[in-house]
Amino acid sequence: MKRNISQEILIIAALTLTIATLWIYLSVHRALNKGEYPVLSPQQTKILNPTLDESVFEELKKRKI
Amino acid sequence: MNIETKEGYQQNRRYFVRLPRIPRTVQARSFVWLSVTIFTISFFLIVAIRPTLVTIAKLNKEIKDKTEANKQLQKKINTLITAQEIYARNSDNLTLLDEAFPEKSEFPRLAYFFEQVATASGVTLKSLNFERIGGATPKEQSTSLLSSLPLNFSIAASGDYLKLKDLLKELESSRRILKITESTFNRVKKGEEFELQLSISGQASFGKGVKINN
Repeated sequence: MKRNISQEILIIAALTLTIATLWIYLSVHRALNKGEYPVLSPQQTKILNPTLDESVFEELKKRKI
Repeated sequence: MNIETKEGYQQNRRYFVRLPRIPRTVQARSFVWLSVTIFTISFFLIVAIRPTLVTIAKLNKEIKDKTEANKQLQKKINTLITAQEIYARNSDNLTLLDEAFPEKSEFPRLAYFFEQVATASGVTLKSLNFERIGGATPKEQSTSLLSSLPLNFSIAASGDYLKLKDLLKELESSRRILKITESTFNRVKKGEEFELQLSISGQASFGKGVKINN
């Protein structure tokens, strides 16, 4: 069946819409997953362990200077 | 050029192109309008909707990242507050830590301690040597919390076995951290009698806390 020019334009339009939709999806996906830079450096996120074995002081007090 | 008449047209027909007949059916018109609509939607999707959606996604990601960073910082603040409380509670005991691990070698104090212990144990201190060797490299200093420098010492004492054993025990129970690497008992002939001698080698450390630079 011979297609006329209007059908061909419609096919091109549909392809354009599909590509545009795919491009938007990929752009949004990349924006959601790509971290531009870490908010905090490893030094800033390093957490100090605040536990202290206080029995050490008692042990030291018993020892001679 | 006269094209009004049939003869005139026949003479000049080479200058004309025969265009195909424009479809005028309902279906063709629908296709054209549908194509125009789709092209318009595509245009606005690319020019307006895409940048908006990308900006929204970036802002959402930024909010999520910063919320996470805020949580981590809050956790760090809480641990720092706890550490501060523990420090305040034990601030009186910090001198004990300075005595156990002083910032300077303080070998005169250490020598005095050895003499005191020898006197208390009832042994004779024959010799006492100190030697500072090595040290933490700048790389080690930058990666560890404590920069530890060794101060080697060696003691020779004479006396009876129990007293020498007491001396060793006293040294092991010193408040300053002493690492006894070697202890040897020897029988040395002194005139007609034999004398028991104890040789002790060890290491006393000193140093100070350093900041992590990485």
